[in-house]
Amino acid sequence: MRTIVCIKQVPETNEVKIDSENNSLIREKSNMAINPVDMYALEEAIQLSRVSGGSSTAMSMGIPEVSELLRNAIGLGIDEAVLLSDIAFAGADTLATAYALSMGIKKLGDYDLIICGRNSADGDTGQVGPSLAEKLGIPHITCVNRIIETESDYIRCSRLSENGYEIVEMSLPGLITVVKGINEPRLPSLARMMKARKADIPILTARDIDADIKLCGFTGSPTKVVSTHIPLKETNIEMFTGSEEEQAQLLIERLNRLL
Amino acid sequence: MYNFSEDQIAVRKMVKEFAEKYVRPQVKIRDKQAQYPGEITGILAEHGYKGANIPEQYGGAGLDPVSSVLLVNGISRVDSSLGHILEVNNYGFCEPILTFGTEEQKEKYLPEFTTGKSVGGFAYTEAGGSDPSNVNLTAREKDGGYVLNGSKIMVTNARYSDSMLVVGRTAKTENLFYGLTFFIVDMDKAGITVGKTEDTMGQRSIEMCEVSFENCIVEKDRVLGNVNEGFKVLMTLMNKMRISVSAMALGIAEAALEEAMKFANVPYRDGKPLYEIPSVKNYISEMVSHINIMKLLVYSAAESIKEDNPETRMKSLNTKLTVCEYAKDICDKALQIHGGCGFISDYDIERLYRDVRATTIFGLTSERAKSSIADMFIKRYLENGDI
Repeated sequence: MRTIVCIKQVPETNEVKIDSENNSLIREKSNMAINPVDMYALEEAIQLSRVSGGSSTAMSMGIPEVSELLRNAIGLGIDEAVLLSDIAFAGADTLATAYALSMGIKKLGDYDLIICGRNSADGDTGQVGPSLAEKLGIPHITCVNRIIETESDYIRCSRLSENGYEIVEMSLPGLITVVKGINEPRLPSLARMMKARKADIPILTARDIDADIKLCGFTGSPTKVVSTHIPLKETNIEMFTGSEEEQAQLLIERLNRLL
Repeated sequence: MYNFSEDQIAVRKMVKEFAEKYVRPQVKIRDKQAQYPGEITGILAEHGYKGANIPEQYGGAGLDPVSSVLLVNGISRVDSSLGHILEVNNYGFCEPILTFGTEEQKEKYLPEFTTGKSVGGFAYTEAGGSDPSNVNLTAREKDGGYVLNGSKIMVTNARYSDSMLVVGRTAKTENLFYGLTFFIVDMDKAGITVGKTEDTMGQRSIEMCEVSFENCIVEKDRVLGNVNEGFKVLMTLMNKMRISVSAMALGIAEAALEEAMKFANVPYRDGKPLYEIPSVKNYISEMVSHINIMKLLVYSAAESIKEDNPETRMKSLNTKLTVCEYAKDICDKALQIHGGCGFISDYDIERLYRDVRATTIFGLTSERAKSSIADMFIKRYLENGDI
């Protein structure tokens, strides 16, 4: 079974910078990390390829420095990685991202299963996985919390629903998005990480993947971010004074007002 | 302070994540119950930490010397007992086999002690201390092999070691540095007795025991290096072990500073943090300055010490003496910042204070290091007036 995992780079901390021109996040080399739920997607792919004896590929779209995160994926046990990087991809919304990824995946050739994290820690739309499946014309299952069975032509999964969970079977090739808790992501081994640091990560441009640049990046994005702001954290502390009884009375009054 | 390469920075980050995930959770229980971290040694192997200093062809991770001590440092920062166990396996067992072993010995032992579950030990110290002239365990040649008789004390990993390096005396001449021989001894051999586990003050999980050898037969092909020339193996091994012990001491000192800062950052009188008190500030400045010096010493020594010669021996002695003494002092100051709380075992500094005491003793006491440094310096000065 050949598995492809799509991963995204997200800021490692909450101290994000925003581009005032297009209101999107400024992604710099420093403080970047693999989107947390994508770590579960990587782990699932590693486990699947070990069980089925197949191979796994990690793919991401971003600035060239994202290669470092793809190296981390190889350090974890992914067999190979590919980066889509081109100025034409900049400022992509979820649709343009799904388009670019779909073209990249087509370029890689045959595959059986694509695994994505359910959502990203920054944008949190949860749209790229399903959009990617639609672009590729394959079925998908979202919010998978357990893979029950896989064969060469189908997969049976448990997916979280609003009322509990559902058991869903899907033909392959297909795409699943996974949720936190589906497995316990491993840490990289030193030997693998040392190999990964020397690994060649191919960088594919829009031309390399035969992408229509009108459908890529900011130009190909029908949605526009009107504004982005960092939530203000306001903590108002009011100190009660007086005797213990008086302070208790004040607290009761305040709590009553909230009820 | 030290200019790490990108690979070394990556290793440091990985080790930190590893230690927080796998080592931190049970560290207090292991200390309280003097529990050997057997489970974690398996996880260390899975992640390539065991024998990380050994080339990939023998199952290691092929880390450079600085990254290899960063590993011991990062683990020791969270649990120096585990750092010690790892250090003995990597530097006291695997590395001498890599440097002095035959191809057959490397192929037989290294993969098992890097990727496998086996843990290596190093049996050197005897009742009179860790001194080459004090090695009295005899290794008598007989029927194409050697018969070992004698006892080693304070052997780390003793009960859990599958094999260990044992230093024995194969000849007794006036020059007591001659006549030493290293043996690779499998611990399931007849004639080996592992004594009771010592109830240690610090680093309580290292399973330190006495190991006795009574008519223990070791095959000739288990001799490491040349017969009677074990002193060369010992010095090469000790040079590197002193650096890794220093990396361990640095890890403990860094943890102590971290604990001191956590404690000093809490509002004290008038809502002000403790670190605003001038005497506390004074301690912090000394601790930080010394840690920066320690980092330079440890990592530059790790980078430059490759073989045994008077210069590298001096460098390893200087590093061990300075770093371990500083570490002891830093733990003392960090505990002092904690005030009465530092005397309570709920606070990590109490454990660090006990753990660090091993570092100025194990491998070589500070006093012996000073004596050797003085001897080497005086000799050099008398020969060429060079200071």
